Amino acid sequence: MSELTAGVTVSADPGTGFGLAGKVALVTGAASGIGRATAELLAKSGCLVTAVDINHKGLAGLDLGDNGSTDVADLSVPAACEQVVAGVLARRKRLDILVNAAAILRRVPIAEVDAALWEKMMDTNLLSQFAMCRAAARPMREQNSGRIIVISSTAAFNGGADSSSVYAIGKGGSLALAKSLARQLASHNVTVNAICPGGIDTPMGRHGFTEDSWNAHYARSVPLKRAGQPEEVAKAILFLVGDWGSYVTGHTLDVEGGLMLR
Amino acid sequence: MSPELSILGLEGRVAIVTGAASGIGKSAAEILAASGARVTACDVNADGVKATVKGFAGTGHTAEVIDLADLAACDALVKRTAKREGRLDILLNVAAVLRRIDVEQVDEAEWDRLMNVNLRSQYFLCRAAGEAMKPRKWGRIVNVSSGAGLVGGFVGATAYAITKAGIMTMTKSFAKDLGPHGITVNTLSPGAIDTPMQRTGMTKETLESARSRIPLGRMGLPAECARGAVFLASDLASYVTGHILAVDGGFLMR
Repeated sequence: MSELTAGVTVSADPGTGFGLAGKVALVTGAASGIGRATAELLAKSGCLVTAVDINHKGLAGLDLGDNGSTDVADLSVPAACEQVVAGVLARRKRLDILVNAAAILRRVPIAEVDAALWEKMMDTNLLSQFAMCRAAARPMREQNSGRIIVISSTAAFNGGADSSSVYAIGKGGSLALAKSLARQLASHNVTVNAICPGGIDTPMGRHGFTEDSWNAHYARSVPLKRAGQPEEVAKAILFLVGDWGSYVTGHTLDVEGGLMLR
Repeated sequence: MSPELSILGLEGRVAIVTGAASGIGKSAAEILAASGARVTACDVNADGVKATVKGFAGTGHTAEVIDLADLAACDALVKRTAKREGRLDILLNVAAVLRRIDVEQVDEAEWDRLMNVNLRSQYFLCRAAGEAMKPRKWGRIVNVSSGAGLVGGFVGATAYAITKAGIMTMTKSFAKDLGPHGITVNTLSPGAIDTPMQRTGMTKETLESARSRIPLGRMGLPAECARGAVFLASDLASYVTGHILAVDGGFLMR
């Protein structure tokens, strides 16, 4: 270590692992898709996971090991986000990792988008991420460590599939949220990164596609010639939230089989 | 091997790492070896690369002394490694040269040297490695570029920055070409990493100025950057291709 790297908190040893054992993690949108795969992978890697979703039935089937907990909440309401974080702090006394995966997708043509739809999608997809990050930032600042992930989408760059305007706008907001928070929390040793999944085989990813159009869209168009699995996104998140992601912040990691090549 | 690292899926993989005598290349080669891969470490610095290999965990590693400006040597390296090991799974293109000089002083020889070592060698190594990987329908190529390729670099790095931009473009082309064969090709874009090359031609003041502009408030360790490269070479990055992974303490915000 030199004067230029002073403050580094990870080892340079080549055998260094991800250091996730005993880390307190909070994953939203954990009843299905990317949130679910992430909650389970983090639990398997040794984290004490709190899995949150509005869908209590989906949470029931989660495998979080012996130290997991679940919380049913409507995160489109900021007060509920505060409560979820307060609950984790009461139970675990700290918060190391926040993964914001909760989102909804309604495909509606622009001409038919009304204020109610706009509000519902923006509150659920973007305001919830903002409120969760705001609540999580406090303990992470005090700990002088933390990892935050916001799930965005390729839609933030390419506008999304047909009739996804409000979804795409919210996901664009997620990218700006990650970057501005990364700047603000960097001096507290908290990293904030965005993930841009695309072509992931989840109920939301497939929304509005037929079996044929889904296959044609991803199997024929992306360089890897196949759709991705939610576990593949979870594995990329594992890299960022563990000790291996110590020098990555404000980054947008694309997990989309080469769809964008941006 | 740490059991935690088994999720990387690197055990038994055969890897070539260039620029392995120092800095990011050395660290990446060490991490691959510690994760169970069989590593062929290459560098033009013979003593350096032999010392790197001596320090590796595990057995079955090889040191290669090679000047990447020599195209025939690049091709022969891939063929020799694939023949000896019976396969090739991973190529990490890390080797690069940087001399900080005023743009007026960049002559044709300097231009050629930078282009040949930094960019041309990566192109021909990618091509040869892709051919060696295709039969097994699995491969990982990581090309180390630099934030300089996007923002022009620090002082005296014009030609260097151009080679690094070329690497980003080249990586996307190879990602398209090799993706159908199960081979991912990604760029690693390091920011200010505390290596001998980073310190080249920098004064205490310019180094401090570079450091102060990094959101995390410090330069990175070679190991932190190398972990980004090994991530891209591992099972963890199975659906990531054509991407530019910035490991830069938040410098680019990209």
